[in-house]
Amino acid sequence: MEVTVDRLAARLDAARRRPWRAFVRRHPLLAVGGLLLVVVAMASLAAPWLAPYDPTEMNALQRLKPPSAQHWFGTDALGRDVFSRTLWGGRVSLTVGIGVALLATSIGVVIGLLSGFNRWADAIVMRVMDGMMAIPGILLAVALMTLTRASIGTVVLAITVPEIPRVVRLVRSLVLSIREQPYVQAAEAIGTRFHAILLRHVLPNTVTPLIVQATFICASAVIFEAYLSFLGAGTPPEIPSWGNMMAEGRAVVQLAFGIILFPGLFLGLTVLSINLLGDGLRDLLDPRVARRL
Amino acid sequence: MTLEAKAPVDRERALGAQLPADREKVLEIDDLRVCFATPDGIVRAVDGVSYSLHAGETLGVVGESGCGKSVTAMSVLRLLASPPAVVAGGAIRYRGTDLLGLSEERMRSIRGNEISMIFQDPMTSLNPVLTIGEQIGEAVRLHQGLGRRAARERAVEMLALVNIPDPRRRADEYPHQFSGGMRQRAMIGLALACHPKVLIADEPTTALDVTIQAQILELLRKLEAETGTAIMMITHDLGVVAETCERVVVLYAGRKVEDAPARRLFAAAAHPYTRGLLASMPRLADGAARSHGRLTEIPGMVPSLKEPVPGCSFAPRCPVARPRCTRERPPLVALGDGHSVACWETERGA
Amino acid sequence: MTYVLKRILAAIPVLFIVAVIVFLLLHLSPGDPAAIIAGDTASSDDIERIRRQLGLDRPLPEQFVGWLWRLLQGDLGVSVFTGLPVTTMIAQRIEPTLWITFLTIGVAVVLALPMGIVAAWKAGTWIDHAIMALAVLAFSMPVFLIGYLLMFGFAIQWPLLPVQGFRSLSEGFVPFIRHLILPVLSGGLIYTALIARMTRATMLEVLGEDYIRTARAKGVGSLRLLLRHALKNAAVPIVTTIGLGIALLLGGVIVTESVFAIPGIGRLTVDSVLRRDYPVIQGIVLVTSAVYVFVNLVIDLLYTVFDPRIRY
Repeated sequence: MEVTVDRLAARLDAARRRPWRAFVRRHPLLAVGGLLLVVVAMASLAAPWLAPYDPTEMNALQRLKPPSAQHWFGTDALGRDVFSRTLWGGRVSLTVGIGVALLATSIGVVIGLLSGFNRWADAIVMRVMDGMMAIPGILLAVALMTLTRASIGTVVLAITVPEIPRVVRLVRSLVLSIREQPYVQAAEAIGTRFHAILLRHVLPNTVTPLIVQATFICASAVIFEAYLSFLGAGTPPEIPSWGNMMAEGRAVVQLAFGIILFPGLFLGLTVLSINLLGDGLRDLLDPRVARRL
Repeated sequence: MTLEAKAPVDRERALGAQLPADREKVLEIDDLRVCFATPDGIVRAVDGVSYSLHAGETLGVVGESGCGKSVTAMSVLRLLASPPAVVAGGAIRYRGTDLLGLSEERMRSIRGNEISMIFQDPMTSLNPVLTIGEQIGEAVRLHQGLGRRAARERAVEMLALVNIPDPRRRADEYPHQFSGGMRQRAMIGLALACHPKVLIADEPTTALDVTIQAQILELLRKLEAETGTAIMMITHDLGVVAETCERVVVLYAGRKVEDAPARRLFAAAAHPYTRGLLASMPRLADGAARSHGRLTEIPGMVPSLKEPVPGCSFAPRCPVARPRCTRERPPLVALGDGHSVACWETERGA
Repeated sequence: MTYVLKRILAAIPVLFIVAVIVFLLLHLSPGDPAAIIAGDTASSDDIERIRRQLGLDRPLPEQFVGWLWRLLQGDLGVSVFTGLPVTTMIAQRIEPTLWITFLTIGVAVVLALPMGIVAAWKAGTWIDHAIMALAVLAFSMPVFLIGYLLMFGFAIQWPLLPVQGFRSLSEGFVPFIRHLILPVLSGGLIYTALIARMTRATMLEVLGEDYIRTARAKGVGSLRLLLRHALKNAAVPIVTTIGLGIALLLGGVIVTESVFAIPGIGRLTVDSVLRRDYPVIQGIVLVTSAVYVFVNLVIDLLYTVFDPRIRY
């Protein structure tokens, strides 16, 4: 049985000498998710240079062609290159994802802080949030999109609205629990100003959970955008987005499956990598999660 | 005023006034070694500990937090999660059979049946969604095959045995309806439901008020006399030891440093650590001088368990340490009358 | 009894707030809602007609009261496109959606609970990693991709199942089920993954509690430990997730109906979006929200079964 102990000791020494290897071993999710996401983000950012064709360029002679050397992913019903459109579609999805995450978090933090610090505001805000959460997110977004002219901006807004309650609830519960802490009560007792309490005690403790949540909101937003576009209530058809492409591909599913398959796979991979990143961040930043050697 | 052991005389009378060491060894821990694998290194929580529990006796296992007393106890029932804990050596014999070599199935039939354990915090140690009666009854249904009604009867019996009033009604209640002291009693009832030969009590009174503590200890003394169960009382409180134990084992940094009958320990402790512990207990003044003096303490801190210690682990803090103490680990030396100690300097300290 | 009553009473203000929010949506959107609903090719007469039809020319409070009053009587308004009462249109399409939703919940719970329990029990081992990897994968794939993949695999390449459509129960049990298999599987995958993840997390937490250690010290075996001791304690958060996850599920169902051409509420939504038929969309939002609130109320009441501490 001494052998087991020696083996463990050896592994610990190895970890000390090669920190990167140990990091990947201990946080596989973070490593894989982060890597995938970087690849996708790079590909999307580089779309104008990577894409062999203009995504909107139509070619009547090359309609519904299967994947080939000239068109890696084939062409769609209007002769447009699917590969280029898929790359460009990534820009839309990531823009929406990041935009929604940032916007929802910002608005949510403000409302959540208000709710956590002021009892009257809290009563009203929580009621409203309960109501908002009772409406299934996608329907709320659909309803909002029906009333506005479609553009990337309105899509971001429409998806942000249903995501706000999540952030508000998190911030509010964090604020409430931090305010109960003895060190905050002590600070209040010696007359520390409100904004100092906010900046020095409350906000630093909210950063980590918010980052994790923002990551998941981003993933959720990317999927939402695809759903909305698929249902016809999302990005306008001139802009190539993965959801749009799949919606257009419906009509020809039996002839050219690639039009649905490729954007769908990219979408899945992107969302997967963001989710993995979120999981990894949560495991990394939450000290309560037990570490395994 | 010195602390005296108060183990009741009637118990010794009941057992024919045998010395504890002459009775059958019900549990024998033999050179046990347990390590934990942590991100910061290997922690040697138990580093070669040996002691025995005899039939019908109450053994105290004393030491401060982190000395390995709980880990040893959990190892008996093999309750330690196997990563990160690793049993690196030694044996634990229950009536001659090495528990460490048994199959999990055999172990399960021993747990709660022949060897039982109660834990420190009664508030969280009972399942909140099952009734007390169900939880006690489960033990007998599992091990003795009783039916639902018979099991409930036994549960009521046990609740009465541990002095819970109105046991029939209480058996159908949930833990949150019991007070802390009552919950600990219910735990004791649960542990004794199958009439085990050994009861391991891991700091059973630490989380309770002093008055409740007295009641629980009284209860344990009474039950031990009535049922003849051997009790391993793990505690850091020498007062508890004085109240209930016939023999005491003192652990320090994962090693055993002293092993003696309770009376001997309190009257003439041989190890500098034990002496330090006894001296550091605050006493009520028996003269103006004492009430204003400085409290005695043992200077320094417990060594980190991550590095192997070649000599005596207590040497850095010991008032009588010599160079030999830091180089060689002292063996256990028998001083007679069932008293043994692991120290190079016993004669000097006496 | 008081808990039950409190929960029921608490649901009412939520429904009211939902109504207010839905009502305000129309008025908070930028631009002229009547113009947008009328569409780009509408004349100003059309726009005026729509405005009057929706009551947008009246003062706000009056609109709200009138609208609320009609709502309480079950009148969800009239479709701009078809002229039919919204209630009728919804009632016509609700059957397939209800079937898909309930079957999906059932299948998801049956699949997800064991997955989560096993993953928690074998936490850290390859089984756990495999199950969680599967769950993350399922959670990330858009519903329509899975739907189309399944359709391609099982209906086009190997024509085992119908490509699309819906058969009501009255037309026979087998065709009914055959048409529902693919939609239920694709729509429910995300929901299943969500429940599995939550089950695992909660079970892990519960398994670390002291009373589980007590049960082990009593000699309770693994299966019994998991199911009788741990699961009951984990039930409340898990069941909560099942309830809250229905919001996600509905999104999946709507999209799935589009993929498999099932004439349910989802299709109605898509059609109405295309036609900018706002009253219908509004009606769908109200109905689904009400159902959602009701389902979560039932779940709140179920807590008393699982956790005796909640009864008082």
